[in-house]
Amino acid sequence: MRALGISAYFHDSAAALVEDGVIVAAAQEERFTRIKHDASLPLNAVKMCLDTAGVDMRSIDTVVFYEKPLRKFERLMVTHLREFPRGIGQFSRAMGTWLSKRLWMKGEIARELGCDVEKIVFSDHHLSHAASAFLCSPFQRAAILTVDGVGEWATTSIYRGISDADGSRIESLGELHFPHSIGLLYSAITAYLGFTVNEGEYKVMGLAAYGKPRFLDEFCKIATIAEDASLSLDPRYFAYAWHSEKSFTSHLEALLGPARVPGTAFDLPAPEGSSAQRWADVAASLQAFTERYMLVLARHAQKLTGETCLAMAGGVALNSVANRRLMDEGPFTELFVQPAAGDAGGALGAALLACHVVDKQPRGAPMTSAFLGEEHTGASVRRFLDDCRVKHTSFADRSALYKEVANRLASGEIGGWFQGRFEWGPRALGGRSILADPRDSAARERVNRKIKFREPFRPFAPAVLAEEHDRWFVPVSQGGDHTTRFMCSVAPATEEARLKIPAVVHVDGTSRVGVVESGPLHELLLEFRARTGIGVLLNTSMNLKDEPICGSPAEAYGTFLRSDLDFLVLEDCLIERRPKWN
Amino acid sequence: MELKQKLGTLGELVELLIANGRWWLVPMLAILIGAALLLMVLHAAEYVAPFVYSIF
Repeated sequence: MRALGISAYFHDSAAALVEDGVIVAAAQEERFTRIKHDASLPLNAVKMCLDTAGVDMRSIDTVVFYEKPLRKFERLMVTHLREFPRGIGQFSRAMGTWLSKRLWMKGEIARELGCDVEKIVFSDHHLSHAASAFLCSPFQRAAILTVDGVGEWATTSIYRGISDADGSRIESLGELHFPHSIGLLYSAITAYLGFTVNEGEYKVMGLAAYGKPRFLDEFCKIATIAEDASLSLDPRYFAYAWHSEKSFTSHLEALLGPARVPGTAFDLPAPEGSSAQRWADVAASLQAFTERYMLVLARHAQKLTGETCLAMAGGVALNSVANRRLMDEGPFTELFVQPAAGDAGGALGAALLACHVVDKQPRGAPMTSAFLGEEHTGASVRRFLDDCRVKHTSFADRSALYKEVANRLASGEIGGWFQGRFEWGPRALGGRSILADPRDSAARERVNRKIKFREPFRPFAPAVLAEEHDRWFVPVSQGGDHTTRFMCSVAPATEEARLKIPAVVHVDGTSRVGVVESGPLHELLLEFRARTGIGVLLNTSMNLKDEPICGSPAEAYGTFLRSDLDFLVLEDCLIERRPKWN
Repeated sequence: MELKQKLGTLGELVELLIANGRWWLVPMLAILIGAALLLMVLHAAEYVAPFVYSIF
């Protein structure tokens, strides 16, 4: 059976193709259109999936959309009626979009993809998330938590997943409904702190490390956690139910102080009493509240299911700091987070659901690699470079390339690293990365200010040889950790790490670790260790500020030209920056 | 074919609202669809306008 999963029309549209239970390809549309968080129907991603499998739309048995648009439309109508007359403007705009286009998406999908309308089915938003987490995990039985802003109605769901000889089942055990949502609380505070919703949440997490959670009592006024792990948000503080532009009200500013105007500079660490320090403290309080809620939720899910393993998805599952606390203090012995845990991952979950739950196909190997995107071979890269007359050195012997790159990195150069298929999910795992020496704190400054042009308070992550993990980072205290392979959790850095690799240790003494077990980046790390005694590299995604991660060699080369990178590796070709005239 | 499919979607939506005990949203939906149709007709009027002059 071939199932094509699709997520679209909200943010982070994506496509995923699953063939007899095996994930053939998966990608976000933004990698092709270069529009960050592109929400359009993922025609380019679908084409890539079909090309990778070597099939066309006629060979697809079912196309599964990741959520139910009619239920979402129902929520919109009910919510706006509740809030009437507030939000009448947003209601008119939303109805215009829905009545002219989104309500009839089945026809549009059939027309644009060129498939039979009968082949198109609709899954449930949180069920798609749950499937993406459980059916990619190494677990045959597990509790599943899906936590995000909002799907159709649900904002948080608890499931139990079971796989056996009869196929797989995902049973719903409870859900929390809109407007009560930890994801929407996080987004509202993201907006309060002057960052873009659905984009700036990572920044808030990074900012939290600079603050103290002195507003935790205020957050307990805004949101109440009940014994049954339900969350209740006080509607006086939030406007997202009726306002499209502003997600918080003046009551929130009265409680936490004036909101940050977007674009206002952050100078951290900031003096006590300054606005910047207050914003950092608000971020820290939000993060602490989120972690507290996730722990309560996990304990409740464990009580309901009696399981020892947990699989998680939804945007909140990308909160790597909360994930680490779940592993250290939570009731589960093992945790798995799917690398594209956000809405893009719904496409993969929808396709897996069709194969394993509906069609009862047996499960294959768990997901151990996120390299599911488009591939560009060495030959096609060389052709591109020759066509564009880019001076480069081609390495027939790969080990010579790794030695050369390791030498350059060890001498302080910063380089782009383009290898194989691009990654599924928001993290660069060695397919489309910018690499630097982690021993030099100045490298962090340089990457932030001259290459990625992003906020100076944001941390950089380490890519570490699997066998060296425990030397540099404190392992989880119990059970198995299935999150570091996809950079979905942080770990406290050891004393040696703080001294020797400061560029990848955040101000709170933690790092969002990416463990590397095989592939070209593993080979490069071995070479780097041979020169420095350190099997760790600073690893960040290959993109400039507010751009999607690069997909093709042309985009990687464009990034190289527009930044201050010292060199770029495209498969087996090395491009050096030409010396500048003084 | 497309009209049939759209009517099918509307039918599904009405069924969903009734099944979820929100039958009271059906009139609102009807008004919204009616308004959308009226807007479509008014939008189409600009194509009819040149012929109106010649008739009268």
